[in-house]
Amino acid sequence: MNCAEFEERIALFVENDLYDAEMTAVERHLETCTDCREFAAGLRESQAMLRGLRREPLDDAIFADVRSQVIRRVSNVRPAPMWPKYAIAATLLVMLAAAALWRTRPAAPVGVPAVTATIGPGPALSASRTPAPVQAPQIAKTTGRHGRAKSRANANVTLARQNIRPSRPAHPRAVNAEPLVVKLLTNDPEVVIYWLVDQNGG
Amino acid sequence: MQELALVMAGGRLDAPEEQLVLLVKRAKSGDIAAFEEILERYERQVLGTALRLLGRNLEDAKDAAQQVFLRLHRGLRQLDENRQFESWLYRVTVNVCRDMLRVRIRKPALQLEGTEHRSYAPGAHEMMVRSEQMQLIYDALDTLSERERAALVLRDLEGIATKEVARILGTSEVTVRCHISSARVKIRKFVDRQSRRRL
Repeated sequence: MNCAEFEERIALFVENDLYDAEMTAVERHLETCTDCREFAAGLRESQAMLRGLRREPLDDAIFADVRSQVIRRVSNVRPAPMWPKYAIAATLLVMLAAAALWRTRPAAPVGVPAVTATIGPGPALSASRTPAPVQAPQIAKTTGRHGRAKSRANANVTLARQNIRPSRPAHPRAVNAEPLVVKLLTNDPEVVIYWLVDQNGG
Repeated sequence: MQELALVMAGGRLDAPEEQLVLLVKRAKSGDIAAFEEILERYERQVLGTALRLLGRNLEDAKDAAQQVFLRLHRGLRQLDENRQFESWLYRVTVNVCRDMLRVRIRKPALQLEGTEHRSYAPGAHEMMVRSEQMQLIYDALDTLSERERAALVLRDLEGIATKEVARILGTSEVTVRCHISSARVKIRKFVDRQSRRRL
């Protein structure tokens, strides 16, 4: 092994970073090689200078500055709110409950002929409500009844059973469920509102 | 080297591990005071390492230290407080500095001038010599490759054992020894060249 090859071993040797066997080999070489001894002396000097960086003083204000910046930014970070999780859970529960109700609902009456009816006050508002008030049994009761509302009606409502069948019923019992079409005639002859009522509660 | 390692570790070895575990647990639960205590404990380690890795640019080193501690805060929940916290912090510091070195255009390192040698209060000549030596070593560090510099800073300036340096840098012990020895040789030769020029 020549001196150039010893250089990097000497670099480890001066800081006791060599294994015992390697240490012995380097020591033996240094005993006989003046150039490598000088190189080792120079390395010890530069290593001492390097270690001097450890003592490089830093003002406490520098650390305080870093600390305050970090704490300020960390304090602005709020933990993620929990309510979205609860909202999602609640939504899922409602959906599950709705699905359970769907499965346990009573079968809709079959073969009810087309009906029309006039509903009294406030049909314009009724059009925007949920269809829950219009139940299949109630429709059966109103079959064949015509007439005008006694109070101030601002619209006529026509109930008609349509022969609309779903092409692929979601549930076997849904085969007989026919949508109820509520036709709302407003005072304006050009405005007619159709309200499609799913009698299965959907 | 062992003696150096103990000196370099400073107060960190005195702090009981249990105390740190407790602090990390408190910080995990959102205790800002506990997190600040962790900062105080490790700010010298993080800022000092960043300064040596980034080449005496104090503003960059401060940025790096902030990033390290913010990453620490973000990663607190995933952090296993029983594992080696210091090593993790060193690894993050090295990674942050490496990222900064790759993207930044270096700014002149003017910020350290006003803070030098306050704690020594030596004579003016000694102060000047020390300052020149520090600058010389920083210039020498600039000649090293990124990996050589990281290995050398962790081993010789932070006093971490070679095996642990390898773990922090995600490489083998043999590779780290190669980087350290070549870095020491480069620094020695750089210092030698500069000294001859001045004569």
